[in-house]
Amino acid sequence: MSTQDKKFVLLTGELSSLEQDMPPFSIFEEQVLQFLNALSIRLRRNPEAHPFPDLSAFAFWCRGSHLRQLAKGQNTESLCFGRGLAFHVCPGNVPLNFAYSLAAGLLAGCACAVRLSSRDFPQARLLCREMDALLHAEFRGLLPYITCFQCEHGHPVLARLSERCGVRVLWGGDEAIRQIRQLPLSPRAVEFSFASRYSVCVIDAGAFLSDPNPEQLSERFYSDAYFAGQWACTSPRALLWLGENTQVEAAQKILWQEVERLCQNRADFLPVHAVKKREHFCRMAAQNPEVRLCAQSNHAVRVLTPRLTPELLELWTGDGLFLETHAQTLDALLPILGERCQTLCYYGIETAELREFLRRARPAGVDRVVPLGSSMQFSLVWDGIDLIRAMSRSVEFS
Amino acid sequence: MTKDVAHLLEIPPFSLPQSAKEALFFPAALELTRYHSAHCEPYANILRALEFDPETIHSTQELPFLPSGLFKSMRLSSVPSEQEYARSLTSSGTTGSQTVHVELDRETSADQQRALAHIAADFIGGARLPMLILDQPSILAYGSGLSARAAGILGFSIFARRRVFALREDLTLDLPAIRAFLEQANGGPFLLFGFTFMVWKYFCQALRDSAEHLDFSGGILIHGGGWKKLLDQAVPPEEFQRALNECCGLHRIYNYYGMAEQAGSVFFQCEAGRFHASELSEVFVRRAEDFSLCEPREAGILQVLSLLPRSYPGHSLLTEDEGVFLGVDDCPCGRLGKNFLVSGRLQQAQLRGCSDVYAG
Repeated sequence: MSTQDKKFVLLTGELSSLEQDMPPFSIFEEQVLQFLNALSIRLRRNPEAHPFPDLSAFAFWCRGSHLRQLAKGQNTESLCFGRGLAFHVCPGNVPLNFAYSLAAGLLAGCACAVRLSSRDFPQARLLCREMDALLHAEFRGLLPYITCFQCEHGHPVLARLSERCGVRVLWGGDEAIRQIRQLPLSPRAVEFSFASRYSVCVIDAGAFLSDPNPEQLSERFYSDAYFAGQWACTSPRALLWLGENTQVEAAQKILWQEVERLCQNRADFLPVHAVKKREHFCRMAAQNPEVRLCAQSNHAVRVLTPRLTPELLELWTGDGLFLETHAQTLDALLPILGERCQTLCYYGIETAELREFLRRARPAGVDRVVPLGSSMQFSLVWDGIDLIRAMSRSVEFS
Repeated sequence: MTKDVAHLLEIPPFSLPQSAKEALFFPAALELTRYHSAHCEPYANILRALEFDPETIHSTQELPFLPSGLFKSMRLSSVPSEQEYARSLTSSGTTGSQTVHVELDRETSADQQRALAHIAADFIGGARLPMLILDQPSILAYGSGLSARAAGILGFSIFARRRVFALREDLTLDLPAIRAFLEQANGGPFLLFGFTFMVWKYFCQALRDSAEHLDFSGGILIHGGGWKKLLDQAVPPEEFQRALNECCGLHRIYNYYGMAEQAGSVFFQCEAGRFHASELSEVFVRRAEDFSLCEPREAGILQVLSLLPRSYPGHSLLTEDEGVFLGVDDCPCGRLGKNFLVSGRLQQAQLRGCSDVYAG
C-alpha cells in the first residue's frame, strides 16, 4: 500500500517545519502573546470574519490583555518550558476547537503541529489563512512553530509526528482516539486525550421566573444548547428544573417558547434531523413507558422523563433533542454524572450549594461548572486538565 | 389473511375514489394500530409516550407513524417469539447498509405476495411470462436473512413462467444465457426485473459497452429499490429510460417505490410519471418543521402506510425519502386514489459527533 498517495493539505506554515527541532519557549512567551494579539486584531478587522460568532469569540479570547490576565494566574517566575513539539489531533464537531488547542500549546511554549478535521469549515480556513499571513510577515520567527494541515487517515505524517512529538493532544470520539493511539509515541512523550463527553444543565425555576428578563436567560440556554448543532461536548443534552410543579411549568413555557423563536433562524436545520430525532425518541420510549414527547416543532424535541438515566442519555442524538425532568434537589442529576459528563451549566443556584453537592456526591464526571450561557467558553483548564502545565515542564531548583 | 386485506384484494387496486378508499382504509389501519399495540409492548410504549388515543381520531392522517430507521436498531415483533417462521429481511439491496429487521410470519408473507401480484398486474397484466432477472444467481442463496434484493426477485417471480439470470457471479453479462433467453422468448412479451442500480450499472452500461446489439423491444422492465444509489450518481429518470431505449430497445419500463419494511404494497409509477398508492397502501407528505401535512406540490418527507404488516408494527412509517404529493383521483392515467412523486433521499446529515476525527 502506498501511503504517499494519501491526501495532505497544508493550511498554515511550511511543510519543512514538521521535521525541524525548535527550541521551546517559556510559558506565556512575549513573542507568542504578541502573535496571538496581532491575530486577534487582524480577525476583528476582517469583515469576512464577522459572520462567524465563534471566530469573533476566539479573536476576543486571544487578545493581548486577556492573555496577560491569564498569565497572571501562572507561575511565570519559575522556569517553565514547552515540552517540545505538541502534536494536536482535532475533532470535526467544533470548527475552532483546533484554534484553542493550538493557542494553549503555544502559550505552554511548544511548537505546534495541528491536524484539523477534514470537514471543511469556512471559519477554520479563514483563521488558518490569517495566521499564515502573519507568519510570512512580521512573525517570521514563529513560522517553524506553527503548522496546520488536513490529511487522510493513515497518512504517514501522523505516525511521523507521533514519533517526534513531546506531547500529543487528542480531541475526538473514542474510536478515533483508539485508532490514533496505535501510532507509537517516543518513550518520553506524554499524551492527553479529550474524548466524547456530554453536558447537562440545571435551572432553578423560581429564580428563572423572578429574573427581570427570563427571555434573555432563555437565549443563554439556547446558545449553550445549540452551539455546533448540540453536537459539542459542552452542549447540554439534559435539563433538570428545580422547584415546585407550577413554577417549573411556567418557566418551561417561557424557556421553550423563546428557544422555538430562536430556532426559526437556524440555517442548519435539515429534514433528516427531524426524522432522526423522532427515531431516537421512539427508541427511548420503546423501553421507557414513562417518557413523554413534548415538541411544539421539530426544532426542539423534548423528552419529558420522571428520571434522568444513563440509558436514556445513551439514546440521545443531536440537533435539538433534550431530556427534561424536574425535581426538588440536585440529586436527580446524579445518575447521569458519570465520567463522560463534562460540564454542568446552572442558573439560579448558589455556587456554594453546587460545591457542597459535588463534595458530598463525588460523581465520576463533571469537570466544569459554568453559569448558563457560557458553556462553550474555552478555558485553559479543560476536562480537569491544566493545559499549560500539561504541555510544559518546570525546572526544579533545590 | 385478514378480512380487510381479503376484501381489498377482490377489487381492482386503483378503482376506488379517495373518499371511498379512506372509508375502508382508515378503520383497517386503525385496527392494525390497536392490534400491534396489544401484541408489541415496545410499540405500545411508544404510542403511550406520543399520548396517542385511538378513540379520538377520525382519519388515516392522524395515525401515529414510526421512523423507518427504527427497524434498523430494534426488533419489533407482534408475533410470539417462539413462532418458527419469523425471519428478518436485510436492506438496502445495493448499498450494503444496515440490516432492517422485519419479523415476518406466514400470514404476512403470503399477504405481501398476493398484494404485490394484485398491484403489479394493474401495470403489466396478470399473465405469467418468461423472466430475465438482472442480477447474479447467488443473490437467492439463503444466508442469515433474506436481502431486500432477493426478496424483490422472489416477490416478482410470481409473474415468471421461467427464470433466467442475466448476470454471472462476477456481475458481468452472461451473454450466452441472455441470447438463449431472447431466442426462446421469440420477440416477447417477456419480463425483466432488477434493482435500479443493478439495471443501470451492470445491464445498461454493460450493454452499451458491448459490441453486440440485443433486441429487448418486446420486454417489460420492472425496476425499483436501489434507486437511491442511482440518484447519488445523478442519473435522472429520463436519462435512465432513454439509455435503455437506445441500448436495447426497451421502452416499457416500470419503476416502483417500496421499502423492505413494507414489502408487497409497493407504489408503481404510471405512464404519466406519477407514483400511485393502491387501496392497500397510503401516502402522506409531511413538513420537516412539525410533521404537519404538506400542500400539494410542496416537497416534504414521505410517510407510507400499508395494511399488510401484521407480524410487526410497520404499517405506518416515516421514511427518510423526500416526495411531493400531487393530487387525488386526478392522474391522467385514470388510476384513482393519491398520486405523488419521489424526489430522492433526504439530504443526509454529516457525522457531527466528535467521533469523526478520521472520517471527518
